[in-house]
Amino acid sequence: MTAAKQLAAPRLGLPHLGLGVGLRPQHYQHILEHGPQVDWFEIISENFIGNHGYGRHVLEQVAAQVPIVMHGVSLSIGSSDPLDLAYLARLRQLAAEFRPAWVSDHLCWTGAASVNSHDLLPLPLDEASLRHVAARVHQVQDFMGRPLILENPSTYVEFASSSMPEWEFLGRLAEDTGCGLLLDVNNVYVSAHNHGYDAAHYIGQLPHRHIVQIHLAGPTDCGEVLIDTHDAPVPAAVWRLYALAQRLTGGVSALLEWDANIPPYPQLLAELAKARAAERGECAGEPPIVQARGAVSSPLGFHLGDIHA
Amino acid sequence: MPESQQVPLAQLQAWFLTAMTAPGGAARGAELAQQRHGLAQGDVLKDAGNRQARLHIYAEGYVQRLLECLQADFPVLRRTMGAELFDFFARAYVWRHPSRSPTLYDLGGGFADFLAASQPPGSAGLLQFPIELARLERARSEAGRAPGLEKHPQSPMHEIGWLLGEDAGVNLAPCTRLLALSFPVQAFWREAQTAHDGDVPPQPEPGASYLAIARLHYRLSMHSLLPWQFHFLLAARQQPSAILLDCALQAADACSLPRDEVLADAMLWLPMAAAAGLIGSSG
Repeated sequence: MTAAKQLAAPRLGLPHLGLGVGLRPQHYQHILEHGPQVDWFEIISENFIGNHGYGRHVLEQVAAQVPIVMHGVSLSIGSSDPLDLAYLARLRQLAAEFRPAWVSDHLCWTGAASVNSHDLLPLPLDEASLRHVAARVHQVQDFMGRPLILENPSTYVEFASSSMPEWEFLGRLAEDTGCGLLLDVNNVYVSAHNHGYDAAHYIGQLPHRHIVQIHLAGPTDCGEVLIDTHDAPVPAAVWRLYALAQRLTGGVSALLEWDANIPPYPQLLAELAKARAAERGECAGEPPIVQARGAVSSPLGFHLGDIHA
Repeated sequence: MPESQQVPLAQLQAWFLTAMTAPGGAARGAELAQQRHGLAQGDVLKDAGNRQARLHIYAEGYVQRLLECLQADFPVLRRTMGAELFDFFARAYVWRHPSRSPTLYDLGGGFADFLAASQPPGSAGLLQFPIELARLERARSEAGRAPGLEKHPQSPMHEIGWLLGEDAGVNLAPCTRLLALSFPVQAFWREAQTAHDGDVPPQPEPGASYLAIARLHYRLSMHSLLPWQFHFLLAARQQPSAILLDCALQAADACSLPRDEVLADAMLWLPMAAAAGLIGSSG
């Protein structure tokens, strides 16, 4: 498909994979014994870069059965540091080995001056940032030889210099660079609550042809703010945004993230199954779990080692 | 605001990173960031006055996230030191040595050395046992992720070669880790692993021990080594194309043992070391 046709096609011409979950070590044994039972898996790229152990062995088995997508947390596309070309080379190598349906990361920066905070930090949403990020997206796409798919992050602060809403920043970035969007409807819900904007309006304003994938997760209600904890069922309000996004895009791949207090695999699948009901307009779910203190955004449950069978 | 008057991205990010990673929390971090980067919180963040607490989410999340990572990487060490003392050192480590890697797997790589460097002068090795536990747990992590021999089946002919020829090759598996310790850490670690929640066995008396961590079919195993076996494998690690004779001679010299005796013992032991996954066929 030519680049122009790719941009005109829904999902940039990338496949609709169906419903998937994140591949996590806590579920390796169950998946190897009972099969994937999902349409596809998303892996955290950094968990498999340089990993020649059991995790890679499991991934080889899984990738032979269902499509996988590589989702990164360290690209730092918005950082003022130069792009880490050594990291990109390893990312490209991993993609060459496992042939993911696409490669995604976040609209964020994770560090500067060579320090990595391992958090997904917000960007000032202004013209200078947009030019900066767009140039880097072009660079990454040239290097990787494929479109980059970028996810909207959850944010808790806004920069004084921001001059446009996030949906506009993402939309212009996508139109300029041809990159795809990973629409995390939970992150929209969290950020809309935290900054006082309308989540449905945000989703409505995005360029829907560029949306390749949707993320689902459950946040934590910490009073004034919602925190993106990935540790709970998806609340009804997020299911409603999911249904809206599926309607506006005409249907894209969806993935349930659960990275802390990770439930047994059957329970995860039961939560994922609610997506089909939500697409029919049946948006059941509890409000977000309330927790006064100690909620950690961007949890790292995915890092907790390669749990052997 | 005209673009020409905007604060450069690099300065904003330096301010934010200082504010969220400084010891003492976000309020202290914002003060430090102002001193270092010449920007008040109100210059950087929207509604800074009303939403001061929001910066805490990043500051607390930063420490907590990396702390949880170290806790997961050093489970027995944490139980042995006690959660409070472990977390104290882990926080100090994160502040002193912030991550510079794209992967969190690298975070714990320097923790044992940090503990060693943190021993106060004259403490007579007070932390030596925890330091060795940290080295053991880090070595297990490394052995679990490094390239192994799973995709390189052992040739039966090679075992015969070790029995017949002094010039047979000896290749240490890339995932094998070797430790020279001053405590019998292996037995302690095993006991602590299987103990009930919170229970740890008593700290053992000092005693030199040599240990190899191997991986076979993606399962880790730990093997106590005789001193000459440790030095034999060490020699194999130092020379990518090592031959049996050279490793045996180096081991004999390191342990002040007769060369012929070590060579004969090595020829008999190597098939067992190979079966455990410590070594593989030479190329």
